[in-house]
Amino acid sequence: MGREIRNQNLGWVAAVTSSVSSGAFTVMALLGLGHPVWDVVLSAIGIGPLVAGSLYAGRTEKRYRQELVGIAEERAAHQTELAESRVVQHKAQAKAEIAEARHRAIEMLCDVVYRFLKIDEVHGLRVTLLEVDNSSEVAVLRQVARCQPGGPCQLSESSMTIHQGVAGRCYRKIASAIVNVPPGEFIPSMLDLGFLHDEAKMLEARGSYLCCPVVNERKDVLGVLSLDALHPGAFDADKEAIAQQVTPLFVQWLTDPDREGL
Amino acid sequence: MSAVQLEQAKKTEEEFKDAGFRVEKVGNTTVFERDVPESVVEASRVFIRSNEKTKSATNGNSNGSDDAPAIKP
Repeated sequence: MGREIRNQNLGWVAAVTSSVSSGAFTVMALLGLGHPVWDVVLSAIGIGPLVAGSLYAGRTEKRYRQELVGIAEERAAHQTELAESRVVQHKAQAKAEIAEARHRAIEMLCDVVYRFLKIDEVHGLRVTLLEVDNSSEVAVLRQVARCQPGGPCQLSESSMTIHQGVAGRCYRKIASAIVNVPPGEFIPSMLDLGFLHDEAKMLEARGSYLCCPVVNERKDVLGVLSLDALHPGAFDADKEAIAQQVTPLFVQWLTDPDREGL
Repeated sequence: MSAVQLEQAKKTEEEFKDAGFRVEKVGNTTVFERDVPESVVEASRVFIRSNEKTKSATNGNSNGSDDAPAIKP
């Protein structure tokens, strides 16, 4: 804006100077004072500021345009940066939503197993999907989802290696395993199954365990479907057959190709 | 263990044995084990192939698997 005003002023100066020199030129011609020297002097007075003004205005215009281009480029870069940051934000949000939906799906599947087994509520059945985590030196069975009377519930903090518990044995043997724990025998049974005394004391005492391996087509164990109940004798051969037959439903979830990319 | 509990445990062992379970002793703990049936392994294979087809389709290969049967309405 300031530059425009300066350019306008310079234009006015050039116009006024030219008019004055033209007027003087005319008056002198009318008065008969025309002389070639005066012609040159008056022309120089009129044309000089006109040329200087035009040159200055042109140069200012060019600089002004360059600055405008710079501002436009800067604005475009800022908008691109803003758009990229929004894309990153949207991607993170979509990723979180997909992970949440996946978690709900696996919880629903555990709930289906829970209802399918039709075990008396007095047994306080829990259905837990354990996933094999090979990221550490000794593979660990990590809880993925759990259902109990009343629906899906929070996962517990405890984890076990593949050398511990009924689930660990099920993993190593690639076979279903059922264990009944007589009342008062929980800690000794857990010691038998590979837990240290301090670890066994941290576990919630249960009376029955049924674990089925979730295998792929090469019989590699991808996870363990673990069921436990409050009292001994909750699981028989029929319940084991049902639980084992539903394990392929978990295979698709555990081998989802998009899982790693989430 | 009381005599009743021992009797019950013995009965349970027999039932599991009859159903095709192996009875393994780990210390004082009894574990009943049964191998994964082939039908379950086959079912798992179907689900894994389903995932592979989805992956192929997502990657732009609409053909999916080379021996996939065509689904007709």
